This record gives sequence, C-alpha cells and structure tokens, in this order.
Amino acid sequence: MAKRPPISNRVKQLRETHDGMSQAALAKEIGVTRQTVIAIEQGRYSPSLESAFRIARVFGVGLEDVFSWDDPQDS
Amino acid sequence: MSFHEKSAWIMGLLLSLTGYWYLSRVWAMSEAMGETAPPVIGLIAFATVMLVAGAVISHIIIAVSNPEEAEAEEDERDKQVLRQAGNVSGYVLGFGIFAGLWQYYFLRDGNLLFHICVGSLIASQVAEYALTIFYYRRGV
Repeated sequence: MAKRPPISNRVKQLRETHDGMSQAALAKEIGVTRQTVIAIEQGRYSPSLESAFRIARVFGVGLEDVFSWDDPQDS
Repeated sequence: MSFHEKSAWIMGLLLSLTGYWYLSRVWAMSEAMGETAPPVIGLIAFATVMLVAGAVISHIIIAVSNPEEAEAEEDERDKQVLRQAGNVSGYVLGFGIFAGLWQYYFLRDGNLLFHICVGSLIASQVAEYALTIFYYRRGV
C-alpha cells in the first residue's frame, strides 16, 4: 500500500458549521457513498480532484480552505 | 460497512469454505489412490452450485437489509479499491498458473496441473476479497 500523502481536510468542521450537514447529505451532494465521506474525513481516502472541487463548492469555499498539504518541506 | 465490503466478507468466507472442502476431497482421493486424483466434474459442479446458491441467498439478505445501499452505484473509492484488489489478485493467479506449468514441465502430471489451476483460481479470488476488505479499512 502506498504511503498516505500528508493531506488533511476540514470536511467534518465545515459540515458542522453548515447546519450540521449529515455525512449522507454531503455524500449525495457530491455523488459518492456515505462510507467514502467517512473515509475522507478520517484521512483514509484522498478524493479525486473533481470530488474535492464538489466538496468545496457545497460549502462555498475555496479548495485550500477544505484541503491542505501538511508536509513543511514541500510548502 | 459498505455493500461491497459486506459482499467481500461473505464471498471470501463462502469461497474459503467451498475451496477448502473441494481441495480436501481431492487430497483425500489422491491419498486413497496413491497418485494425483483426476478431475471429478461432479465434485466441481457440486462445489460451484453450493457457492452460487450461498452467494445468491446471502446477497439477497444483505440487499434486503439495506436496499438503498445495495442499489447505489460504485463510486470513485469503490472503483479504486476493487481495481487495486483485482490487480494484486491477478499476480496470485499468475504465480499459481506459472507454478503449475513448471510442475507439468518437470513432472508431466496433468491432473496435478488441473488441481493447481483450480487452487490458484480459488486463492486469487480469496486474495481479491481479502484485499478488498483491507483497502476499504486501511485506505487506498
């Protein structure tokens, strides 16, 4: 299994600040299963660029407000 | 747990049990004969029917328990998990077939070649189900 990229996300926090949007509702909005949203939130899955943009659009924020690259050497 | 992960658990378990039953029967027959037993179509047919019946019944049960999830199409993560598990299981199958061919080259035992191919098919499928579960749990 490939090493996980140092990507973190704020999907859970953004859901909570958007009227406590459920994982199922977000999953429906971006066209994935609820299990995939859970995997994204837990950092077990990095979504495709398309899904990443869809998530950002659902919350009305930019991509870098949702996802961030945490490796200080590459910043 | 997603529908695909539940399916992988069930199929992995069913195939492991069926495969063990089939191969243990072949082993017992071979020991009784003192040489590699020839392929027995009746045995293979019975194992296949049992496997298919078990798969159908168990999938009906998990689909009825959560119809919405069962009807949902594969998303990008499902596709990635299934593709990666299928890719690695292909190596298991390839290794088994390769071992079977070399066995035939040196020992000229066609019956053993047949059983190695069947065993490799079973092993590669079990590996695919196990890896599917692993990738769903640990990430891809």
